[in-house]
Amino acid sequence: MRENFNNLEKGMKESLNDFELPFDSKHWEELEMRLEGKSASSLSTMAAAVVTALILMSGITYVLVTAAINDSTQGISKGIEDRSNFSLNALDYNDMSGEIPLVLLDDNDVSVDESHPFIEGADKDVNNSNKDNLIAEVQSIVQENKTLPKTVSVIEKHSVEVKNQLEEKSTEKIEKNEAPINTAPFIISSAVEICAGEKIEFKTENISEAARFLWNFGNADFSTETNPVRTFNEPGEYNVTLILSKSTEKIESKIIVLPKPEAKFAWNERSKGQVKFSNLSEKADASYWQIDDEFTSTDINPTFEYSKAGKKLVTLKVENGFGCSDSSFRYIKLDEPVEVSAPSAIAQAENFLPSLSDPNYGQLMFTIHNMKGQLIYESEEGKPWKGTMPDGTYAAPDSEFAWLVLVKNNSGKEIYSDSGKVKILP
Amino acid sequence: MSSEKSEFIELARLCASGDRKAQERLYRLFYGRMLPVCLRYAKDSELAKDLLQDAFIKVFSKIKSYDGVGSLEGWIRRIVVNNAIDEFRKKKNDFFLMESIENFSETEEEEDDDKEVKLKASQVIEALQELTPAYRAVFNMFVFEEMTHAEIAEKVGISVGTSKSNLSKAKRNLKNILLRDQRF
Repeated sequence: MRENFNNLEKGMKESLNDFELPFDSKHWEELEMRLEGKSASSLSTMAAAVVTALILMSGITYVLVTAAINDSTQGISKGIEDRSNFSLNALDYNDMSGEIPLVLLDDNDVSVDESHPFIEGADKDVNNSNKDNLIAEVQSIVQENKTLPKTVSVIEKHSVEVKNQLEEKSTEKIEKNEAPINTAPFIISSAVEICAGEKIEFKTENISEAARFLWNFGNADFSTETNPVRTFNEPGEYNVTLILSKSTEKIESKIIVLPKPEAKFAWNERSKGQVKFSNLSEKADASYWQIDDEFTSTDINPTFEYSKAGKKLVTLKVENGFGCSDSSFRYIKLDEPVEVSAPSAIAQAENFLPSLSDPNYGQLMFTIHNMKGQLIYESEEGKPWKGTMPDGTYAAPDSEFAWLVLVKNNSGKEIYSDSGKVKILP
Repeated sequence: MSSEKSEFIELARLCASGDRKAQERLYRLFYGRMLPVCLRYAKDSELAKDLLQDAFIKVFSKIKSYDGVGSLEGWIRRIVVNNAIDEFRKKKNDFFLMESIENFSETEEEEDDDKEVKLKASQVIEALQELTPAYRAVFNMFVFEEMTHAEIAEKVGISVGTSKSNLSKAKRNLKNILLRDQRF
C-alpha cells in the first residue's frame, strides 16, 4: 500500500471528489479570443506564450565566445574554453513583427570586466535569505571553475559544433576570433528591445548539459533555470548576465524595455442600439477599434449604431510611438430582446420545459446535463423533459441538473443561449 | 451509455475540425470538474483559469487523437494535470532553490489517529494554495494523482528523497494551516 497515506489526505481527496464549479462564461470568452489568435491584455499566461510564440524573432541568435581565465597578471592560460550562443526570443504574440537585428560578436563588443560577474547589479531589494542562498550558489559555481581544464584544444571541438548550428555569417565571426584571446572575460553586449509586459525567453544552446546556470536579470531577479522566461514590466535598460559553472565568464546582454500603453474603454448605449465608446487608454498614440464584424475605426471615441441587440464583441488595440501595443476586449450586452424562463426546481416526475418571453423569437431547444456535465436529455421539438435519466428511471430527489437553452432562427442559426440549474424536489 | 460515448466521439470530431461551438460545448461540459484540478496546482484562481485555458488549447489541438477507448473526461483530465505539472516543472529550479532556505526541523512523521477527516472542497483548495509551489506540486501528484515518489521524481526531475521530504513537509504545513483555521 501507499506509504503515509492517511486520514488527512483521504479527507482532502474525498472533499474534491465530486466537487464542481459553476461555469463562468467570461472564461470561455477569453479562451475563444485566444483560439482566434487575438490577443487580450488579460491573457498573459506564460505557457500560452511559449506554445504560440516560441518561433518568433528566432533570427536573433548570436554567438558568444567565452574565454578561459586565469590570473591576468601572469597571463598563463589562454584559449577558448567554451563556445555558446544564447538567444532571446521575445514571446509576445501581440507583435509578430520580424527580427531584431543583433550585432554578432565584434571586437568592439568585447571588453574586460575585472569585477565578479554575478553580484553586481543585484539590488538591495533582494531579500536577505534569498541573497545568501544565491551567494552560496555563486560560491559553489566558482569552486567548480577551479577544477576545469582550460586548454586551447577545446577550440576545435567546439568550433565544429558551432559551425554546424549557426549561419555562415556567424561562422566567419567565430573564425576571426580563434586566435589566442584575452585572458579576461568577454562581455558581449547586444541590446534587445522589448515592450514592457512582454514575455522574453532566455535560451542557451551549445552549452554542455552539465553546466549549471545562474542568470541575473539586472532587476534583483535571479534564476538557475536553463531557459528562464521573464517579463519586464518597468521600462528601462536591464543588463542580463549569465554565468556558467563551466567558466568564470559572464555572458551579458542588454534588454531595453520600452514603455507600453494600456488599452481601456467604456461604453454606453445612448439610444436604442446607438453606442458611444469612450477611450480610457493610457500612454497611447493610436487607437484601432473593431466594433462590429464589419466596422472598424481609428477614431479616439467612436460611436456606432447596432442594428440588432445582443452580445457584441468590441476590441480596442492601442499603440504608442515605440511600436508597443496593448489590446482590450469586452463583450457589451445590448438589451436582450428575449428572456428564457424555467423553473428552478421540479417535483420528481414533473415536466420541465423552459419557455421564451417572445415565443416567435426563434426555435427553442434545450439540453439537460448532470453536474458532471454529462448529457441526460436533449429536447425534441416543444416537448418537456420528464425528469427521467437516460436509463428511464426518474432522477433522484435532491439531485441537481444544469439546463442549456439554445434559440435558433429560421435558418438554423443560433441567436440566443442561456443556462441555469434545476433541482429535483425531495 | 453508449449513446453518450458516441456523442462524445462526435463532439471530439467536431472540436478537432475547429468547430468553435463544439469546442465551447466541450469546455462547458468539463469546466466545472477541471477547474478544481487547476486550482489545486495554482496559487490563485487567476492562474488556475490560465492553466485551464492552456490545457484546453492543448486539448483542442490533440483531440484528433482521442479514439473513444477511454473516457473523454479521463483523457482531458490527463492533459489538464500534465499541463499543470509541466508549468511547475519549468520553474522548479526556482522553487526548490527557494525552499532549501527554509529551515525545517527534521522531526519524524507523527502518526495520525484514526479519526475521520471531513473537509470542504473550498477549505482544501485554500489550504493547498497556501503551500509553497514545490510542496503543493508534490502533494498534488502524490495524493491526488496517486503517483509514486519515483514517478514524481522522474516527471519533475528531482530526486526521490526531495519528493519524499517535500511531501512530508507539505503534509505538516497543511495540517498546521487547517488546524490554524480550526478546520481539522
